[in-house]
Amino acid sequence: MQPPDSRCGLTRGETILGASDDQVDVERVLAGDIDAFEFIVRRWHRPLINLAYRFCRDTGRAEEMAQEALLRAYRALNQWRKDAAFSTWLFALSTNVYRSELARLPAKAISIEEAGELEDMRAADGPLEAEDRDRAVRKLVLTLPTKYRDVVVLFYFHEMDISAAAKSLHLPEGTVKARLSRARELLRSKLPHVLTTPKVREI
Amino acid sequence: MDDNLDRILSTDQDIVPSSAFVGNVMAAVRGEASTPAPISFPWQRLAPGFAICAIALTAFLVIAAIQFHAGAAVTGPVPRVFENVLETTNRVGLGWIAIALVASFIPTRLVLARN
Repeated sequence: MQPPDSRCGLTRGETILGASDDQVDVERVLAGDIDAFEFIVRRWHRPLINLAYRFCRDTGRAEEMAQEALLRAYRALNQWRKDAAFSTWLFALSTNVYRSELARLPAKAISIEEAGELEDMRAADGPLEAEDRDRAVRKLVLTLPTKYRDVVVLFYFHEMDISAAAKSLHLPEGTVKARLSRARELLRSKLPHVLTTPKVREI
Repeated sequence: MDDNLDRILSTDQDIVPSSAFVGNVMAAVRGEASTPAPISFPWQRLAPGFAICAIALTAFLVIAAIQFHAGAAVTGPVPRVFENVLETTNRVGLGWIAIALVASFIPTRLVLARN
């Protein structure tokens, strides 16, 4: 699992300390010191909110989902087996929470205007405004079937680390690779003019 | 692999959490911690009920077996052995006991599963 990085404002050195800090804080919480959980929240809330945001593209909802994930983590803290990093466990738990939340209440669909923009991009020959195009492509990920959306979100969130994405999703790496490949095909088919033709290469 | 797609999706802009987020989470956690633990299901109290049910079921099977071995004839569309078993069951109220146990067990399990 990817440790906290620049997303939560920690340096690499702090990351190394972070792993043992997590264990110490978890033990304190389990011993009854609830305030120690605040250190865990402060350490992980930024990556958790950002992961949630990539699932829903809604800042308010991302915070709600991340709060729910942290609350569930608090309840299940005694289920963390120390054979895996705390972050691996936390991201897997949070991913489950986010997927359940989105299954219950799907992310807002792309609006008619946005759909029109995407159609324009489809037909456009000239250069697109890079920022708008990138935003549209990211939103398009949410229109993928759930199993492809989850893999794409986790893969890029974990800085293109197949292993980390697979752990978060409790899936074999081969399955993640296959779904990622299919997801890319689907995205390319939706925006052929925006996304370049794939080169045959191993992930 | 699609380099353009990789570039777009891996350079997603991060959002900054609201300043109240950590406080909200900790308030929720403290609320959770101050809530009394849910009352555990009284399995020990229910044990006599399960025992009665098991005894009744055993009795039902024994009666059925005795009737069958006594040579209860099949006299109609319903074998006589089943008629005898049903009569016995009605006499001891086994059906009501079973229904009551199931009716109390299912909602209890649902509540426990939800918590």
